[in-house]
Amino acid sequence: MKRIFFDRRLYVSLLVVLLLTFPFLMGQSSYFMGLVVTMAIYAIAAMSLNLLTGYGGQVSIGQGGFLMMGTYSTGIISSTLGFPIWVALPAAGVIAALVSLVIGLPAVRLKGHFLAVATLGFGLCIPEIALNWKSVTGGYSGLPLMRPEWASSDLAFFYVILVLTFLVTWMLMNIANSRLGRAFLAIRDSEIAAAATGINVAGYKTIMFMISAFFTGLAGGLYAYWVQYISPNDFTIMASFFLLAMIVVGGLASIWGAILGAVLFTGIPHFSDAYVGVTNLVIGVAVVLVILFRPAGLVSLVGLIKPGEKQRSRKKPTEELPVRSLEEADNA
Amino acid sequence: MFLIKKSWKRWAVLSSLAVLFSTSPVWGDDGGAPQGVTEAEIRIGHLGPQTGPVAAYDKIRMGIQAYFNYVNERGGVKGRKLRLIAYDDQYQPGRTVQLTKRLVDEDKVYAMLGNVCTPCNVATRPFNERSGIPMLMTSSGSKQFVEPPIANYMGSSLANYEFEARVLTDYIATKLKAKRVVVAYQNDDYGSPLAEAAKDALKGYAEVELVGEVNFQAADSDLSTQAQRIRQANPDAILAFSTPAPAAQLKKALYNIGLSEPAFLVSSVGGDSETMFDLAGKEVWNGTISSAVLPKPDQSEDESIKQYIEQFAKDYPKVALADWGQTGWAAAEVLVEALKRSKTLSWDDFLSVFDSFDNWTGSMYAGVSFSEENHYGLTSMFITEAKDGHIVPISQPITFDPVTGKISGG
Repeated sequence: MKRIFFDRRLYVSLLVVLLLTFPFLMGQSSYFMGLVVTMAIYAIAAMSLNLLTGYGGQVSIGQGGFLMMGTYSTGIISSTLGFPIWVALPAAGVIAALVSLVIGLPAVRLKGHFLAVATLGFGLCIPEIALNWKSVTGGYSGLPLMRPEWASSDLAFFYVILVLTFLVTWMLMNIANSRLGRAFLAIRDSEIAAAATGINVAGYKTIMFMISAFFTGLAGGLYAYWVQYISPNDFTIMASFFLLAMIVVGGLASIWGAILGAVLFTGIPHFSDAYVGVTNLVIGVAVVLVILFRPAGLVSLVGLIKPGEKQRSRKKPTEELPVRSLEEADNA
Repeated sequence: MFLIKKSWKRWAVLSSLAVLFSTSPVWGDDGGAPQGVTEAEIRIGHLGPQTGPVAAYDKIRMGIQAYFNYVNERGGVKGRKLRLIAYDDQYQPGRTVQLTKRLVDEDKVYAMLGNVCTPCNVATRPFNERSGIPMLMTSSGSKQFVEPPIANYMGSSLANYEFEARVLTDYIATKLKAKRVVVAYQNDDYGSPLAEAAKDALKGYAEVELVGEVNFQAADSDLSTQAQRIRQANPDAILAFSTPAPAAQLKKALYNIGLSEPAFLVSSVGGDSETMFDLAGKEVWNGTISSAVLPKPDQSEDESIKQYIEQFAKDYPKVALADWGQTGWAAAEVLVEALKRSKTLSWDDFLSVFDSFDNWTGSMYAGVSFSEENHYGLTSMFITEAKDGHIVPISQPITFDPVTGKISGG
């Protein structure tokens, strides 16, 4: 019985079934579907950032810029150029990845706060470009976007987003637990040691940037289709800070941590929005408390209740993560 | 690798059954009474930024709330209290879309009042048109919400951008007799459409030449480059479309390079406030010409203004009386009047009573008119001038006829 209770597969199955039946449990409420969709989109973006920052140790404060690029790429390819969704969505990811390559190549020479400042610049300049490049982006007027006929209802597109979120989660889990993921962890812990073991540090860093940007751009594309309107006011630099806060609060170098952070940060406003100015305060307090008392993120709380994980959850993230990744690699 | 194994199937079946048997569906509403109206209350929704760089617009919510408090203290409307449900959309259209669904589908509000931000309103328009929710006194001067008329969109709490731009350009051409004009504008959803409208309007005056245009961002704190470019253009008049801070920075930058000769005109959002004397300096701001749709609290004997001063100061003692609080209050006055005129409060009946507003003067606005062809509501404004620390009216009300497009009065 105890074994069943602590089996991760039970909870994952429950979660999947709950999400699939969610619209009907909530009377097909557009608002609640929107809440889950926003959580899913931020979860994709947070998982992508976690791959870069949590696993790879590359601090990015410009991820909101890739989200915005995803929205505009989708809008332009779909609305302006008339391509279908199955072209627009992957293209949004590819364009974000290509731009990240341009940024990533010089950025791989930077470390720590220098890299953070470089990416911050990127996050700041994308909304300005969107605002001023009026002939392409529509400037302040934004771009309207129509969903394809078969996914025009919120219910239909809810399932599109859900299926893609499951798929991206599965892909990112595989990447994190693959040879690529272990190389990222090695680079994060010591670039010199990683290079000494034959890892092409610059190459892997660039790949890291591109994978992260690809999935973030895809998330932006999904957001654009859900909202059906693209504006330079969405995904400003605050979105980048929120994404960073999501992975710190949820748990660095943990796919589940990123999902938890996204769910928490997207869910908090549902309860606090009715009180003026409380949302940002609650989020700020949550970040401070987690950093002070659970530096490995909220996902480490699982260790407090799950037998055999207590020891591990008490360790600092930098001590813990390589051990965990090797264990998981063995399991795989 | 994280692959789907056979053992997962068992868990999937078990958890499916658990979810299906442990929850019950949430069904829709009961129908009958109009959405958002009960025996005790009428729920009204409002969306706008309460935090962030443009949180100043939150005073619109405060103004609405203050008027609701005023009405509720006197028994409410048709025996029902007015309840305002407002959320912070942070000026982000994506959030506005989500929160609109929350207000309409979950909170079941009766109507939306004074929603802020042009792109946010653009983003929610398809949903609102589908739902049919009455959208009242939208806080955007953009024409697209009132022209051509949309069945469930009634009025704008701000002067229509095109109307305001035409009034100011007409003042430049006919009253100031200026020949060379520079248009300076904030490059965003507020300043750009006004600038476009002004440039269009200037084409109607053969003797007036547009000799230059400069733009800036709302957050810019140094506009000396723009001031230099304006000097090079050698204008007789400078027409600025801006929020307060950059408008003050621009006038200061012009003053610092000795360019005080050309007339300086600024749109109501950036000029219709006495705090401009603090932002720019009293000497610098003196002489600035602007427009306004609402009288200043200290310059009117209007009954509505007196009620506003008393109630707003009681509810929000630390917030300045002038500006956006008045906008919210005035918009709420229009809503309450329409609620009083509606017999059944059904959406159809409620929206139809707006046609009976014919230059209605019971609110803080100079006059409110609606008809089948006119969903503007607010069609009057006046010219002001900054004089010795005060913004004083220097014209009679100027009225715009949306059906014929004619501007009269002044």
